[in-house]
Amino acid sequence: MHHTKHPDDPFVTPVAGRVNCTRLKPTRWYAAWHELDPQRLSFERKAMANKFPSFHMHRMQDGRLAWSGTLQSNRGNAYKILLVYPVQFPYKPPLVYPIEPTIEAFDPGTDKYKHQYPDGHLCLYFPGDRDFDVKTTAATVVAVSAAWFFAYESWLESGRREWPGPEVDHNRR
Amino acid sequence: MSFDTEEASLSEPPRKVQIPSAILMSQKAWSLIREETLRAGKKETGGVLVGCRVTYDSKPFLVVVAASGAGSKADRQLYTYAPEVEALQQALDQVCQDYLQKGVRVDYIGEWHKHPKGMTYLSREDIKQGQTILTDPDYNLEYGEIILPIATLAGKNSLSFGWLFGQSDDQPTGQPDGQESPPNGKGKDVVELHTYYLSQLHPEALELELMIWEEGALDNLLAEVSLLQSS
Repeated sequence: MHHTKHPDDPFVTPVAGRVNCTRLKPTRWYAAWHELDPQRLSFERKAMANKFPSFHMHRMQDGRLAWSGTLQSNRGNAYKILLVYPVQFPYKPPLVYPIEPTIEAFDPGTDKYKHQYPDGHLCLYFPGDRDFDVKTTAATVVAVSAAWFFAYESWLESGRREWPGPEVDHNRR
Repeated sequence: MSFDTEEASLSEPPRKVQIPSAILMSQKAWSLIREETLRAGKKETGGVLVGCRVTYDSKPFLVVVAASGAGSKADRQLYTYAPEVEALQQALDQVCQDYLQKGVRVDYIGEWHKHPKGMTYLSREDIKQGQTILTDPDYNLEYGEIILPIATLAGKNSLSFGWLFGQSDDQPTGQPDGQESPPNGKGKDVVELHTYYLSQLHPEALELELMIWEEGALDNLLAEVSLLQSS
């Protein structure tokens, strides 16, 4: 067999002494849920189009998908929210962040946030409260968020004393 | 004939490197990838690939002489995986050192990882991770290229394309000696391997043909090319 060497190919080179190999760095490889399961993405889009047609889907800089839109409460208040699908969706629920107005459900009585995490996202699916299922769509999560805002307004009206509906003692966890 | 032996620098524009005709992978590397993939079950796994670029019959090839597993401390989940860097580094150093004894320089040439069944392509995030590596000056990517094979389980009795570890006398016409042909994998767990190629000139993934070679044949090829270049 005829072999030729190529002037643009010095890779295979006789070497002497110690080779300085590449120093590797930490890497992470992952596939987004919507790439793995395009049908689920289609299902999510349909559910949102049916229940919340004014919401829009976005792709965030880190690659996660999100919905944004505005909810209107019975009291006439508008809440703009951002629903972000986690990397582990549908095994973990989407996170819902109030965008406008700024919501800080701080409870001076306990010196803690009331059903809200320090980064601002709402506590919707605390274990033992409402169970998130792998079949739960973003549309359901948005509906649960609307219920959260209703409870939040009631809580404000009570002078930040009484949150309507069942609650889990967050201090236990 | 003179050779361009200048060290590549990422501050320079990418060199016009010919896209490899195929990936030549040692049977040992393929066997390891296959076994790791089967062992991982539903979780993701992967490892480093060690090799070099060669020109054979005037055609460029990327040669994979060895592959590693993910390391015992790797973070392996259903849809994501992060290798144990120390374990990969150790494997890489060892192979580089072993081939140094043979007078051949090999180095990091890419990384393989497993995907869930049916996802035989790179995800957007995989491509982004690959592009990050391509542009990282700390990686000795002399030609600004890497290979990112994706391994998937295709299930039993799959008729889809797959490479299985084993021997075959049926050498396809016009292909180098020592190459293994793809069996159909009937009745066995089939591991599919799709070899994607990224370079600074081709930042979107290209799937290249994969050829599995016996160790001896591959080492002979490297030694031969090495001798030719030193003569």
